[in-house]
Amino acid sequence: MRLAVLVAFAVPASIFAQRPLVYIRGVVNGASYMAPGLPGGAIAQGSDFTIFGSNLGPASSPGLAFPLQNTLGGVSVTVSSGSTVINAIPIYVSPGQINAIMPSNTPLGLASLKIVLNNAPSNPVPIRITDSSFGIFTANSSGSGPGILTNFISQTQQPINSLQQSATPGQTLTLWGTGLGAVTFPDNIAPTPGNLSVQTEVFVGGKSAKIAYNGRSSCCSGLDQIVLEVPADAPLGCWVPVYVRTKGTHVSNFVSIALTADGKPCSEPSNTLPSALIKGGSIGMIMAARIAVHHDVGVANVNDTISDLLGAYFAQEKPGPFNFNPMFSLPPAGTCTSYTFAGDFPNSPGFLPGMTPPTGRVLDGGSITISSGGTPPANQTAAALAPGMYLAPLGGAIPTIPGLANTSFLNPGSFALSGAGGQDTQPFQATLTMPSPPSWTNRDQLSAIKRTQGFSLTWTGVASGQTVFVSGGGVDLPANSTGMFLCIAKPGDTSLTVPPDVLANVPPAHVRLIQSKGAVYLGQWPIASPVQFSASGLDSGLLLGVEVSGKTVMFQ
Amino acid sequence: MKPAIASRLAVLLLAALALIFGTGCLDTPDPAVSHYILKCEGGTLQLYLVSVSKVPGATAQPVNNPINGQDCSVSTELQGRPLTLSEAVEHNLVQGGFNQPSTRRAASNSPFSLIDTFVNLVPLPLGPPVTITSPGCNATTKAYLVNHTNGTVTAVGTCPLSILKVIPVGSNPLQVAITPDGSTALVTRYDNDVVWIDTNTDQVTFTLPTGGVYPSGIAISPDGTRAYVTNYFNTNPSLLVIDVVNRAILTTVPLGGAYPRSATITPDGSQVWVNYYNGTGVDIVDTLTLTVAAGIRFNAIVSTGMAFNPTGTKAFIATSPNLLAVVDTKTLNTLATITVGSEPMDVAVTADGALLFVTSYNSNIISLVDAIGNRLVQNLPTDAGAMGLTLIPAGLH
Repeated sequence: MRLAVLVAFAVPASIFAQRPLVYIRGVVNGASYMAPGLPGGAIAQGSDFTIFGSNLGPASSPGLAFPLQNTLGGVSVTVSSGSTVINAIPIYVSPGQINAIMPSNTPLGLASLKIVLNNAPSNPVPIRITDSSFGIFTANSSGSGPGILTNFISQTQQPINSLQQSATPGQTLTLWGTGLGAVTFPDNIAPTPGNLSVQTEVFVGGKSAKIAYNGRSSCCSGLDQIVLEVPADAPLGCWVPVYVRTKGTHVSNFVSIALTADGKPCSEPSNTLPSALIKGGSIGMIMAARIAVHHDVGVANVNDTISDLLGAYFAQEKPGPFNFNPMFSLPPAGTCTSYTFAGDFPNSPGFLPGMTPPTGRVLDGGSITISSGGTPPANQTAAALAPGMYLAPLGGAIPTIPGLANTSFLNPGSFALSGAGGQDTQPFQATLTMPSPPSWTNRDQLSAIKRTQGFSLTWTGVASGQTVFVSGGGVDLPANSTGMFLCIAKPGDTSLTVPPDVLANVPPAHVRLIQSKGAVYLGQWPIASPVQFSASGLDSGLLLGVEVSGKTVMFQ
Repeated sequence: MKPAIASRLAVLLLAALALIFGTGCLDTPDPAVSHYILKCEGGTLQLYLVSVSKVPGATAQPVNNPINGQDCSVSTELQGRPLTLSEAVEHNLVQGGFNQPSTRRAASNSPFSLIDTFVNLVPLPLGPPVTITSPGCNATTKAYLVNHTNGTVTAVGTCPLSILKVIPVGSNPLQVAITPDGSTALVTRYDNDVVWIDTNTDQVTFTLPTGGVYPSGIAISPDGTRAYVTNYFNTNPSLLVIDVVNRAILTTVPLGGAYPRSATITPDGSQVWVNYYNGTGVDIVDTLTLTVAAGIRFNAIVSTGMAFNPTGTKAFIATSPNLLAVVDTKTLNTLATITVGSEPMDVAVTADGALLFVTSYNSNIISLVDAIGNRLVQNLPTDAGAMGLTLIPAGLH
């Protein structure tokens, strides 16, 4: 018996290394890549889905022809639900990724997926099968940002909507995605066009669009088209949010399109942040932010935290049709957008998901020093965390916990900023004024937020020249999934309602709150007219003082 | 815009507030907290538990214990003075000693633990050390200690620290796990059964015979419906799947190595990771198909301790002689190997996933590790080698 034990552990590790490995939570909608743990993260019958892993397939994917087969390049994909085993239809194979069609007759509910590569089976992974769960394809293949929608100009002229080829209200667009649901014909033959019976709605800038067609494209298995008319009252902008809702409740990923009055290249007159993204140029953007959060959900003791941060971004951007950066590519005033991703947002590095490297290159702006008034002045210096990117804590406090030092820094008032200059920029000086934060008047009434009802925020005391934003989201820790939203208020408004669809893919809180995170934030920032600074080497230098108030909540 | 995160200060404070269980940690008992006292009465010894409450005066209650009734000539050095729980354990006045390696490991994702507490100085990287004199305290939180040699489980109150009840469960209990709702403790007994304890009454409510299975490690699914129990044997090693609600064995999953020891379940419940006595590997069981989905092999003996971060993206696995392996649960690659104390035993991760603690059996330290940066922060001194470990939330979320 002891010999058997020794033999059992003599198995070389290399055998395990060569087997195909499907990543846990690595099976996602082929367009949205929405994290499986989120409400919209299930795989629809008949849809194109993606499997991530290692050693999954051959180096190159063989060509395809109808009828599609159950095996491609030595790879087969099986989905087991109870005693039922279904063969998915692989359409692309590679060592790190497989794309396949989930057959329309796959049983709904929890199932187990595995692949077999040249007779070597992978590990099984759990997946969820649903009747419809739509994902919109995106230009950057990330599931967020500019969507793949084509502007109908004529039968022979249907360019992809972009910053340079915008659409206009009333224009017909074709939206491309996958996940409308099952079809009645075989999934492995050329699809038969025709509207599917699933209730399908498209919203552009929060406005419902007329639908002319919702069904399979004629070209490709698993690929859906939705032909829509841009609502006449859709807001204009370079990144107008678009999403699809099926069955009245299943909400897709949010993408963006460019809308103008005349179909010309878009612009963002009320938001200076993406100026370089739209026109190109070198930009330096410095943001000093105070984030004050009231923690009163899921805790034994209420706490208030203050975090003062300095962030900066120096980059050379090239104009491009699909430029997008969630930090700067904001939805139009009066609208909301949503982002989802795999991960625990507050513990993930960087800012909002989908933040992309510059279209050109990062710039070296040297260290940045911020000094407060007073005698002697307090200085803090931030060096770049990564080329062109700065995020430095300046201080903070938890006033409700005695004994902890109060190192808060960005108290309302004036601050002097100076840049040491680097390889790409010369030194600069500027003055920043931190405004008083707005007063969030219904903050303490928001604790449990029902996602199906949406919620409203009210405020007063917004400083002149400031734009109000509302953001937030939730994290499902065991599922390692985050759903977030960002809304921009209209100038002069003192309230904003976050609609249910924007919250549809925010994960609901677990009964054990320690397994979830949820927060809502109200902030102001001068994006329409920030302080500008000059520095040789930069076409544009922007300085923003940002005040954010936050509160922990439970999304239900 | 980057929203506020739970302040780093708050996170570290949470770590400082975590009550860490080891042996013999308090140097001197504080009369203001509960303690033991061994008295000589009428020529024989009697152990008392002195419970200090807000009502003026302390109450002393006799504690049933094997030392009671013995001649006063024994253990004279312990008589007549306040004793901490750790001292009581160390001197076998309270059962649950530290010299049976396989018995007192608490499930690392269980809220319950064993033995003793100490309040430690944890320097905050952003500031000077802070002594926590009034940690968050939830009077309803209990810990459960398996006492292998005398066949009992001890229910320990954590606020204040006190023995609430010693529960007979039968011979050779090994490990304990608590259902997510806190209502039930399940105890594995090497002598072929699993015991249910109602944590409200601290009574045994059911015993499930396991036939030819020798229960050892146990992990409970996040929804509380399934318990996965290792069969600590070399013939037909396996993982039992138990219906916790209906108290029945559902099925058995064959495992590939002898003496499967500990079972740890991922936060989403999709996998159970199993290690083996004197083994270098960890097998990963898929809980939907109930098959061994994958395995990881190390160049060292894997110890009892395994834990996941709250998102399940990392596994922390203790290995001989003094290492903690950090494994990416997606790729199954080892991200880092951290040197900790000698013969690391148990691993526990804070609720925010920022820190973790590792006990070591052969060194008088508990290692504090940055669970995000995968690096050792500090080795915290203890009075003796520690084994089982758990963290109790201090009220910060």
